[in-house]
Amino acid sequence: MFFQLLINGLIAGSIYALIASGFSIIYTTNKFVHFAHGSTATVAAYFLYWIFSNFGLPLYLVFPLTILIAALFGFLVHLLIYLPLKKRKSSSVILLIASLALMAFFDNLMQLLFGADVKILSIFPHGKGIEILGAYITPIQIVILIVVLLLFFGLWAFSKYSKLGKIMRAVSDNPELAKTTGINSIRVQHWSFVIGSAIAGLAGILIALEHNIEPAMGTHLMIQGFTAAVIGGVTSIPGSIVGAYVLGLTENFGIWFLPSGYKSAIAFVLLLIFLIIRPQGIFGINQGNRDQKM
Amino acid sequence: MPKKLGIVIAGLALFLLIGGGCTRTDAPADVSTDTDAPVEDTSPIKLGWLGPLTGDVSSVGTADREAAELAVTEINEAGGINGRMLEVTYEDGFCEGKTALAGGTKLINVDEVVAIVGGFCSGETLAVAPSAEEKHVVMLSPGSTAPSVTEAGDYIFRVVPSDGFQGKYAAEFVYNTLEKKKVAIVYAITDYAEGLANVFEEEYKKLGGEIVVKDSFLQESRDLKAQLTKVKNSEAEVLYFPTYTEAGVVGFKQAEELDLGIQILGPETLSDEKLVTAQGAEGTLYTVPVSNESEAFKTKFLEETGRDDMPVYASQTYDAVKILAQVIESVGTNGEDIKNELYNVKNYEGVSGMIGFDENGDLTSAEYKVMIIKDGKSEDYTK
Amino acid sequence: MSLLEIKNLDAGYEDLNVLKDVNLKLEKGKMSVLMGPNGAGKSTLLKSIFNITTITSGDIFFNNKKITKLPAHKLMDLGIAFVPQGKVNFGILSVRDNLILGIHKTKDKTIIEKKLKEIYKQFPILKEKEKEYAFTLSGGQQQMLAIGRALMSSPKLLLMDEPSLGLAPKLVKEMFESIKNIRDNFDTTILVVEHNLKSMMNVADDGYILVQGEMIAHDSCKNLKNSEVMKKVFVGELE
Repeated sequence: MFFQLLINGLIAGSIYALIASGFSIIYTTNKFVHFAHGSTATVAAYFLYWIFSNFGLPLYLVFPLTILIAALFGFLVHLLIYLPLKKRKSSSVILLIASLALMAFFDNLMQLLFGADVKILSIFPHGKGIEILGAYITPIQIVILIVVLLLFFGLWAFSKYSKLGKIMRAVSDNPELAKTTGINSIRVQHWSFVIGSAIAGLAGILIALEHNIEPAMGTHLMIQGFTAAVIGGVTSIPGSIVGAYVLGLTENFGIWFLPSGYKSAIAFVLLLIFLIIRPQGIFGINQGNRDQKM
Repeated sequence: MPKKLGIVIAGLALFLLIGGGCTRTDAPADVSTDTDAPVEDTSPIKLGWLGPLTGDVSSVGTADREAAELAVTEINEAGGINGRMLEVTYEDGFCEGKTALAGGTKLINVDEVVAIVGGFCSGETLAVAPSAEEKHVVMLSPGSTAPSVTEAGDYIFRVVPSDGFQGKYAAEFVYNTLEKKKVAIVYAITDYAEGLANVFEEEYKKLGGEIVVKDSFLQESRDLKAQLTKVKNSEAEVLYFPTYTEAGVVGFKQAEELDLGIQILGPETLSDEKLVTAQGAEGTLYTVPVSNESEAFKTKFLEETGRDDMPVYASQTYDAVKILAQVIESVGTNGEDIKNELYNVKNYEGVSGMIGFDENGDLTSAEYKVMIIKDGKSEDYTK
Repeated sequence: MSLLEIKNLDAGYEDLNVLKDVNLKLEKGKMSVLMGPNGAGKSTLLKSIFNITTITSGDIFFNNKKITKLPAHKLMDLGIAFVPQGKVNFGILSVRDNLILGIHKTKDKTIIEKKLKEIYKQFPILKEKEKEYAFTLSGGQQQMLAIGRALMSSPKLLLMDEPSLGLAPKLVKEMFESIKNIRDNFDTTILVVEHNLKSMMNVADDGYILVQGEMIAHDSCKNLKNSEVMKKVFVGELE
């Protein structure tokens, strides 16, 4: 029982992590809430479904293609919608409203094109899970866990050691100083959308395989994704993945004691607790006000 | 300039958000007919139909719409109602209260229909009932089975039995026929499923059985692992699973993945083709009201619509339209007159069986049977 | 020859116009100080070189090349480095990472290590705190880090906005010694916006006075020191 709850929590956490990490990259670099991030995953999932249903392309082509399309989607959204707004010095509130409009637009577009019913993606055979220590886990779930673990280490190394990772953190921390230090902030922001949206594409694929496809699938997960990013610390990209697991595990162990309907409430309660007690999240750094130089 | 652009975008956002949730109407709004017109009036008589054309239960809703259309065609080909053609305006209820309310009130206030065939889902009917009561518009539901519909109002009728019967039947089936004494209930948080869950619990306990787990989920939930893990960890021998289609598909799939290992029993919503053919459905049992469905009707319906299977509540929908037509033919288009005359219907021979209404507008009796899902099809269950 | 030339500049923030018809000519190899009362527009002038203000008219030339409204990140390539006021460092990066960002365009590790060594020699405390987060440094150390980062790219022109702000007097003295060293050792033209005139006037070659967005004086520091205009503008500040 414990192990089943643990696995349930890890799987839920992994799915949240897929959404949260991409969102976190975009948020830390651009400092506004890109609500349409969930829609990126949804669009990727429908693209996968469309390609898979109509063309007999092999999977090893289809999956990377989907991720590329997602990256392109995010890039274009930034280039065509957010960037012009930023050039006019729009506040982050305006950008947030724009992201809501985009979210509504694309979710509805998917519904218009594909219908509101749930689409099932039958790429891999389904069946009883594999039994480990009295708990059951399916092959797809194992794949999701491994992918997210790799993603975590990848993002951690990227953030801490790679030049682009450090530059992103610099832009996130002090955008004006970044400019005068010769960093092309706009190019960095483009990259954040490309990388973040590519991860959303990956999320779309895996969630489609595990939970099937419907128009609001990505957006539904944004609440948990956003919460995970806050819990993990909005300045820490790998932290968002940790936050996602904290959330997933808390939800699944929590509803052992509560009626399962309270699952979403747990996300909100956790969010509130962190916002009140530790707004910088688990890995966020509160820089303080030493000597007024910072 | 930035502020203006922001307002435009905010407006666009609002428009899309609201527009996205808008109900779809298929029939254009007609010019209202004067319901107090003299007998020589040849303008069409307008009925409304409210059911799930999109969403979770849309496969059933769209199929039942065809049953209504079949009834309408027959009536009109036979000369209509007192020489007036019958017209139906179809509104989408999405199987949930908010959308149904919008559709229902439009039928009542804008289209000014004479009566409504619907709502289909219990949530739809319960949402629109107060308006129908107020405006004296009869609602005759072909599918709302929640026990709470009994008290929904004077103008609210149904040609399906209250789940007060079905829940009891299911409880008796589990205790007496399957001979299982411990049950877990996992139900969707909707009027329909919750009604069933509560009736089942009450009746099953009366028989001496034990409810070891009672848990719920939101209709739009797509992950039931938490609930199923609780069930697996309990001593439940049977899982009673009242749900609509999409969450049902998830439940079946995850029950198989988790190797739940116990019998699943559900209500008539499990007859949806999408569920019958879903992963993990094999061996699932479900109760259905016995429609002493005339073979003639079945053949005709399948022929006219090109379908392979009878959708659940198709014959009830057909009967609802026909009963209303008959009543309107005798007493006219006044809402109160229609209502009063309906209470006099005691022995109408419908294609779904014998129909008679009690003082609450409920069917006076109900009969059920159990089906089993085998190889992606439903068959009668034999012990 | 003039390294930096600003001609008839009108600039500000959105609709707020701060600078009016400002002229400035910076000689190569010299250290100049830009002075003026609060709100005169000194920071605005520096920021305008980097196009992070709203420039409504006028031009800026660097090495006779027009750089008006050039995107900020391109100026570093030309050899202009900036030590701003306020948040001077990337707090959540290490000291070492902060410095490396000073020449982030260079891929050659040997060059990077060589420059780091130079900077550490100039500011030993930075070597000590190499792996610490920048935000843990004290004010004076932060200032040194900011200057160090600016120097990593071996800039031809170094702009500094009130480097002594918030520093204790002893540190201020050290600060200006460092700046003098930079001018001597790194062969860099320097323009410093400063409030602490006593120290600067002894160190800098030229001085500019900006009052309410208008450049009202320019001369060698020697001449300016006891001039009438200085007395008028900075009553009591020279003590």
